[in-house]
Amino acid sequence: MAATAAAPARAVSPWNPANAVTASRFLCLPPLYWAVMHDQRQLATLFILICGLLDKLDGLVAKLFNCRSAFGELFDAITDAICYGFALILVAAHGWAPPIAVALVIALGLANAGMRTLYARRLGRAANYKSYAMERVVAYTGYLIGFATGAMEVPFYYWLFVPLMAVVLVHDAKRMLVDPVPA
Amino acid sequence: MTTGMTQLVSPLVFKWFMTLFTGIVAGVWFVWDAVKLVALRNANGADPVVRDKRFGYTIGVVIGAIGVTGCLLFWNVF
Repeated sequence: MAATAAAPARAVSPWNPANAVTASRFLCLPPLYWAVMHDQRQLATLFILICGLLDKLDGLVAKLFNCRSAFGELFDAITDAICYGFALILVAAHGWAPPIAVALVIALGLANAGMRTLYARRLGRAANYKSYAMERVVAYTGYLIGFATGAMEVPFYYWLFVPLMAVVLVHDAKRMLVDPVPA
Repeated sequence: MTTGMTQLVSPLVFKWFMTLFTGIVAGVWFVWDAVKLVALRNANGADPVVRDKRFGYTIGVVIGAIGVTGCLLFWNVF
């Protein structure tokens, strides 16, 4: 099935420019923490924007240096989860985002990660299930943090995101856990 | 905004930045996924990949619409 991203055959070292860009996203977290703790909304927005731009940049660097790898994809997904998870908890703890909505978003994210693990077990090999809908939902997650730091219609964006992500998760659950797996 | 905080730009400029950034990204997202959705109208619906793409692009269109609507709400348009 084309919906499953196959691991590239070429051996690529994990010490490559694309993974360096991915790792550099962690450097945005301490200044983001400082900015939120000091009520610096504009600076916080800037740091989360840089974090998001680096997320886009690592894919471009991987193409440019021809260093795409299964490890890189996994590292990118883990970095997304850590950076966005940390930032969501941070803005919720600081009162810039609704804590219940953030808790639901994180719970749905964990459920998504668990389903992907089960899908890989069903397949019997490490594989990333390509969900066109979840890709868009994850991109939306990055913007959620920006809406919180920028104080932009926070309840509207957060509370619409929860049912949207739940619908995508139910759809992907059927595809990953019920439908036949590719040979 | 709290007095004494570091202002990179004035609050009004920051509000416009947030609006334009979100509005442009959401608008492009809406159109881009709508075009891809229309391009799939004659594709084989029995193919699970095609169904996944249709669902994904529909979600993209919804997200784009949410983004643009939020921008309008931000300026109390309705």
